[in-house]
Amino acid sequence: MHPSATARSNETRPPLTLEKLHSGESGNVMAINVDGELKKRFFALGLKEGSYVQVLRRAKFGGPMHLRVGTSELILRLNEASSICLTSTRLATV
Amino acid sequence: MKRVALLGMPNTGKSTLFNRLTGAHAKVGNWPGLTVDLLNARLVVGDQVVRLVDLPGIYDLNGYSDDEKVVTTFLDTQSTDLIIFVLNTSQYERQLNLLSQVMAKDIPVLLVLNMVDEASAMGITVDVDTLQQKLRHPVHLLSAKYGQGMERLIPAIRQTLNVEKDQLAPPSLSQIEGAFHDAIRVPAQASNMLTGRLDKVLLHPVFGLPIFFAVMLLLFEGVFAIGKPLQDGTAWLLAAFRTAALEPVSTHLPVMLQGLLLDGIYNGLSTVASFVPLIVLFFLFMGIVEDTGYLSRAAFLMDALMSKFGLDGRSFVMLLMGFGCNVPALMGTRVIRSKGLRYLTMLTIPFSLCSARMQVFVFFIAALFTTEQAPWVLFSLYVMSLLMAIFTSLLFKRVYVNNDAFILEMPPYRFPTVHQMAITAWQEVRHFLNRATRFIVLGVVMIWLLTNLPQGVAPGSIDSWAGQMGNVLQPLLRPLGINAELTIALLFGFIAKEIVIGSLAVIYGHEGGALVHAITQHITWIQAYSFMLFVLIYTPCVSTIATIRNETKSLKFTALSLIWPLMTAWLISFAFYQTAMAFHQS
Repeated sequence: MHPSATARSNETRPPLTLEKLHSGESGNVMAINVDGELKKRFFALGLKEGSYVQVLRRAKFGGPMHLRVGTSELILRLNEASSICLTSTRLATV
Repeated sequence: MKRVALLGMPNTGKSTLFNRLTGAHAKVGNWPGLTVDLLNARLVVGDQVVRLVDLPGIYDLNGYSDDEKVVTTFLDTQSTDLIIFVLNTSQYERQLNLLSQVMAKDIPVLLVLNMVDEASAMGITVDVDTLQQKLRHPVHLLSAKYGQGMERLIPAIRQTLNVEKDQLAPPSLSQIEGAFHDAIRVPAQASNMLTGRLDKVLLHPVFGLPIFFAVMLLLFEGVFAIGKPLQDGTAWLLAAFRTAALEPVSTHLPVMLQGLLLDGIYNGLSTVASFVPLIVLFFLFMGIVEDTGYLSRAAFLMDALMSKFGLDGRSFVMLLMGFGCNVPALMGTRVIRSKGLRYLTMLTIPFSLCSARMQVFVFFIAALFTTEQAPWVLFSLYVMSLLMAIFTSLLFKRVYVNNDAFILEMPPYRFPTVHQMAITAWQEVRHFLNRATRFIVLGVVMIWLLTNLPQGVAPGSIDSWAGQMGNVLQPLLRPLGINAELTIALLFGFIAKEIVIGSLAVIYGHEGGALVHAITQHITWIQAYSFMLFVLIYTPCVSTIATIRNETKSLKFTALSLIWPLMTAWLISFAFYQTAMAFHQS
C-alpha cells in the first residue's frame, strides 16, 4: 500500500473504542472521554489511561460488557464503553 | 466516647468486618446533617468503650454520589478519632487513591488488608512489615469472613487509638503506590479460576437467562412457599392468644375501649408481626443471592431489557420478589446505591401482584366467573400488573434519573456464611419493627375508628363513618361500578388485602357460601373485574406505605407513591367499566 494512503486512512479512521471489541479481545486504554465525576469512578474501578482491558463476554441483545481490568471484573454498558478509546487490540487467550 | 469509623470501597467486606466486631448489637442511628441512617455499635477496646460506625462504601472522597456526600459530611462534622480503612487485598491497586485521600485527613488511620483468604488463594503475598514501615501507618491482615486475624485486631485498634498522630506529612499517592509495590507480590496470571469456570456456565449466551429464571423461581418459592405458612401460622397464634387470653381479660372494659384495644391496636401489632417471618426468609435467601455474587450476574443478564425502562437487573429481581410480598422487596432495593434508580424501582414494586391481593382475586373470580374463564381472568390481572410497572417506570424514568453510570463490580463467587446472613436478617427485622410499627398500628386504628364510629352502629355497616364515606364517595366511584359496600372493603383493604374478604363478610353480614351468594346477587362480573383492577393498582397496604416512608424518609415521595397508584387505579377501572358497560348494553 502507498505510504500516503496509509497515513490518510489512519487520519480518517475513527478511534477504536471499547464497545467495538468482541468477547475474548483486549486492548490498552488510550483516553477516557467522560466528565470528571464519571472519570473518578472509572479510575476507582481500575479503568484509566494505560490500563489493559480484556472483554470476557458481551451480554445478548445489546446488553453490557463483562470486563477484566487487572484483578477486578466489571460490567459496563455499551454507551459508557464507547467513551473509552483504545490504542491497540489483540486476541487474548481467555 | 471515642468514635471509630469503618471506611472503604464497596465490596471490600467492610460490613462483614463490622458485623464480626459487633455481633448482633448494632443499631441504626440518625446523625445530624446526614440523610441516611448509619449502623453503629459500642465496642470494648481494652480499657475503653468506643463507638464504631459503619460508613457506606465509597469510591472517592471528593465524589458527588449520595454515599460519597454522606461520608464527607460525616468526616467534616463528626469528630472521628480513628479511621479503619478496609481494603480488598487482591484488588489493592485501584483503592490506593482513596487511601491516600483518607490518609491526607488529620485523623489516625489503621489500614486493614481484608479478604486475605482470597488473595492467598490467588497466590498474592503481603509483606506487612515492609508495608508498615514504608507507609508509617499500622497495617493489619485479616479475613473478616472467616475470622482469620480477628483476635489481633482489637489490640491493634487500641494501640492506634492511644498513639498520637505523627506530625510528618502524610505519604503521597506515589509513595503509597511504591510501598504497596514493594510489599505485595501478585503473580502474573492472578485470577479466580472457579469464578471463571462458573461464569462460563451461569453467564452462558444461551443458557444464562434460563438458568437465571430457574434461580429466581427457586428463590421465590423458597421465600414464599416457606414464608406463607409461617405467616399464616403467626396470624393463627396471635388470634388464638387473643381468644384465649385477651378477650376474657378485657370483657369488663367498655365495648368501645375493648374494640379499640383488640381490633385496633392488637390487630395492628399482629399485622406487623405477620411480616416478620417473610422478612427473615427474604433476607436469608437474598443474602445467598447477594453474597455469592449472583446478584451482579443478574444485573448483567437482565440489563439489556431493563435499561429500556430506566431500571437495571437488580430492580428486576426486587420487582419479581414483589409478587410474593411488596414489603421485603422494597427493603431489598437498598442494594441499589443510586438514589434515582432506587426510587424508580420503589415506585414500580407496589404494582407487583402480591399474594395478599391474590386472595381477593381468587375469591371474586371463583364467585363470578366460570372455571374455564378463571385462569384467563387471573392471567389478565398479572399482565395488567406488569404493564402498570412498565408504564410507571417509562413515565417516571426522566424524573428519577439513574445518575450513576452503569458500571458495576462483578465480584468473584463466594460462599455466604450463615453467621453473616443471620445477622443481616436479624438487623432487617429489627429495622422494620422499629420504624414501621407505629405507622402501621396508627393506620389500623384509624380504619377501626372509621368503621366503628359513631357509637352504636354495626361495625363496617353503611351507617358507620366508613359507610358514610362510601356514600359520599359514590359520585366518584359509581362510574367505576364500585358501590358503597365495596368502597368500605377498599378502605379495609388499605390495612391489608388479606382482610378484604373478611370485611365483605362483615359488611354483607354473610360468610362462606352465603357471602358468595350475596355477592353474586349484588354485583355483576363487570363490577367485580373493575373492583379487582382497582384493588390491583391502588395502594397495596399500609405496611407498604410505611416501608416506603421508612426507606426514603421523604414525605413527598411517599405521597407520590400513594397518589399515583390511586389516580391510575381510578382511570383504568373507569375506562374498563364504562367501555364494558357500553358493549354490554349494545
